[in-house]
Amino acid sequence: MNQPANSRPLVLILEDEALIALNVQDELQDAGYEVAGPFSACSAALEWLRTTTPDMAILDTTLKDGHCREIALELSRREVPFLIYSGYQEDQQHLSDFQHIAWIEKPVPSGTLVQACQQVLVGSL
Amino acid sequence: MLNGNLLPPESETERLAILRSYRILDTPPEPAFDDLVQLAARICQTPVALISLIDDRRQWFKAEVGLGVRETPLDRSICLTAMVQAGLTIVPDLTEDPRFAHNPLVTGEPNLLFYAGAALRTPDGVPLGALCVFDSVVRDLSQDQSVTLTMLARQVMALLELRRTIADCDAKVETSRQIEQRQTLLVRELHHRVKNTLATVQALVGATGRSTGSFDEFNHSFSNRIASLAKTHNLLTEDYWQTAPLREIALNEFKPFDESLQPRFMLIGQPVELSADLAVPVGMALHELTTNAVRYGALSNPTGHVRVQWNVDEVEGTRKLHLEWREVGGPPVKEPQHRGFGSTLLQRVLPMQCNAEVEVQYTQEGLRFQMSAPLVERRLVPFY
Repeated sequence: MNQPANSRPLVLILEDEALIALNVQDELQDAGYEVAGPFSACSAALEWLRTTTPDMAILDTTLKDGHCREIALELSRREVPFLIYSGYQEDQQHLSDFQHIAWIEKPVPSGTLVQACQQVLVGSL
Repeated sequence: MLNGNLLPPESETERLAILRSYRILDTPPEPAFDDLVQLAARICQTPVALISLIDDRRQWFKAEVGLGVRETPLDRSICLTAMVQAGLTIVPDLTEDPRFAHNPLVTGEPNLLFYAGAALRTPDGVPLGALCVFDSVVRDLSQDQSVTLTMLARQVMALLELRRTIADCDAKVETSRQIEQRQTLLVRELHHRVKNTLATVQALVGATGRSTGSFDEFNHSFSNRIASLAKTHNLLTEDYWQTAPLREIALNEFKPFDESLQPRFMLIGQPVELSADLAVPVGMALHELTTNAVRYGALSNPTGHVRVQWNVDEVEGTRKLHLEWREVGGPPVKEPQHRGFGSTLLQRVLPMQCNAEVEVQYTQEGLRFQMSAPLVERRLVPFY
């Protein structure tokens, strides 16, 4: 990543459980990330993506307005890395054509998400 | 009931219920029954044969040959008379029998003259109709023909019984399929809810940790939040539809004040059921509001009280819940310096989670909180 040394990476959060979203946001912000969102619907995230490209994204699979597949496709098109943070194993089938997706099953120990983000950003996850 | 004069009315009601239990009336023709009337006509050498079932205002033919209609009014029915007679009814010349001489089928087209009918009776002896043959000449049946017609009538009845057994089985299979479908839905929902609840609890740990100073304080706030969450889940699980009544959610929080001599709370609003998507956050909000009122607001002194009022209206097809929490008679309140978990929940979680518009006001009288949120109408389990 060609980031200026002092920049805070911008992470898009797509998550419709507000408490979880806010907790992820707090954790990331504490660890020095900028957060876009949290967005609770795919439509809102897509709208935001029209003008901005994040450094990476954390996506829940099933949102209020449907599956996150469209967002995943848009991010792939822009070569933005993302990881899936979801409790629904069966949702994996909707993303089966994406290769090497980092899949983190809810819930995880604190710190795991931040660590995963670091790995995604250096391209090792 | 036109046939009430042949059968006592109470047993006729029962008889009609039994007839309906065969689920045969107004069904399309079936080859098995068609074959039996063909056989009856061939053996008795008559142009007309019918399987006639006596309904309350008509006789309906499950199968017929030679008549060309599927039903007639009951005043034209000869089978109605035949079905209540023991054994086979044979009328060699209908014009000679005062019961049938004025029947339009006898006096006009197709000018029927001869009738023979074997009653169709259930295994309990309840008459449903008759298998009958007609001819347009005066005649009789041979011994063989009489016996065969009676046996064919038993075959008709055996088919009807079989058909009913299959229909009952189909109904049972359908019921168990529905139960299975409901169970699958509930198990899937339960799985999701458990996962979500665990993630929510984890988020609660984080959020509570951020807003408390000591372990004791953390433990107290956190365990109370979990207990409140559990009560809302109880209400959701008790209900077939997996919804919880708003009033009950609120009462859970106010339970400690139930016994107080002075009324400490008022709940004013129509009965409204909240699905899990709304019940859980609203329950948490009411918990935070109550906790706050006990510590700083209208429930922190002996004279204050809380008024919770709600109503539901409908705008452009969407039902919306409007809820107001108003504290009266407590110590003067002012906007807190520090934003705790309670205010995060009210001002950030509710708008995100429930698409709610919220307003928190610190008025002279006490805290006032208002929210408006669309009701989630999605039914989790199927209606049947």
